[in-house]
Amino acid sequence: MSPEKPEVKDVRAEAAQALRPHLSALVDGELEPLEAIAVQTHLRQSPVLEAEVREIEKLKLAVHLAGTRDKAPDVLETRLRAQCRAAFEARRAPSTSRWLVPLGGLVAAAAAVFVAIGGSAPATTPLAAIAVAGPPTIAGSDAVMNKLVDFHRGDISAMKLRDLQAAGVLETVERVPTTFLQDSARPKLVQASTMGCNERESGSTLAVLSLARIDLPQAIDNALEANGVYLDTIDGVDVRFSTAGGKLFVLLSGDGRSTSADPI
Amino acid sequence: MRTKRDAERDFMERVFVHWDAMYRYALRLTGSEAAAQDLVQDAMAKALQNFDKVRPDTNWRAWVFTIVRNHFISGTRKSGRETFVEDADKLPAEPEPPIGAALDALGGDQRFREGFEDEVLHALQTLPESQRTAVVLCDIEGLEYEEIAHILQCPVGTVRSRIHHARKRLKTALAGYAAKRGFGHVA
Repeated sequence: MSPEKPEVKDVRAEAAQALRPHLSALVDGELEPLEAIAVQTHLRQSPVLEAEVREIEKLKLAVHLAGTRDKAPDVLETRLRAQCRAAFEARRAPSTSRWLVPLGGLVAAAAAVFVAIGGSAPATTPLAAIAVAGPPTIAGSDAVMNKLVDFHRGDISAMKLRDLQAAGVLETVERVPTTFLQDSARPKLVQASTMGCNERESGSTLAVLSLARIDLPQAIDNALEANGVYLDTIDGVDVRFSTAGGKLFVLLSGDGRSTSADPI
Repeated sequence: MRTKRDAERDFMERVFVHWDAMYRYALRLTGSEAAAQDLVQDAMAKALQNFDKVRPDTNWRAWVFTIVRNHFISGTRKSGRETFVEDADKLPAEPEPPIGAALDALGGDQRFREGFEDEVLHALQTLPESQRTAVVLCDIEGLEYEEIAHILQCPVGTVRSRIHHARKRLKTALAGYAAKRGFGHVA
């Protein structure tokens, strides 16, 4: 028996032992190019080390599959989104109240627009005629909704909405049939114009507002983001909010006034 | 100038997009879904507070993992729930057990695979935090060693060593599971 053989074996075992700590880095692609070449050269001569590399690769995959098996709960995403929204909302609060909207100059011309509702993107809005004067602001949200409700009930005329239109908040408002949403599953095209508003004979009112000009309350924002639709009742009037293409569609139905109460 | 609207959009695009990765990492740190959700919410609040103070060219993914880890460490140090082995490189050497056949079987038997995955997650949970973080961020989240070094605040060489030791420990833990089910080493 040659006395050199055990020494050769020891040298190889030592080399294998020295290489082991680098095998993980090799599998992760984290060795420097020259290091990687040197390690791979040794691997070709050592089936044991090669097998260890294959094992590390499989272990890495097993850890990845196990770690990504369970999905994060949807409720957490909703909660985190609300948390972020509230945080940025709070940052905006000191400089401007939540429902402030910019007010431009008054515009006499009403705009005829085609809007699509019910889920498809709206057509472009030729509202180029709006002339913006100074940047004063008026209180918006509640005031805007109250005005729309009053208009829907016939308590105020379309002229009273001109300031909202001039501010770029209200793009258009139109009387529509009560069955506007119910009688067709297909998105509808409505030619809408405040100039065309007559007495309320059709039951519902559709208003199109610019999302860029109105800061919605968080609850509505969240609901729209989650469901695409938000339903509310304001002074007995059913209000349906939906969004598409940067527009907020507000459909008002019913008048909230009792018709059956007959105090005898 | 960045408006507040822009800041919100930037935050959502740079930080919020990592919410599910934050949760996965938090789950591996805490070992509990409820605790992981709390940790992610706390970390998100911290991120919201500090977002404006961070350079725009920051590695946001590494940044959010750093926040999650720091928050976890500060919380658990107070409660004493977690044992932190900072000097993982000095852990005693352990023999590397063979688990090749068990890993080979993963592609076949569904029940074995699910059981094995549970065992992998359990084994991960037994690792010291710094090793667990290194291997979770590397194998589950796909971070590079340099990013992990930034999160662990240690040299890249230490990350390499921690991942090596972590995998040795995982193999030891998983070999026991494999042996019980009749899987040995395939040479």
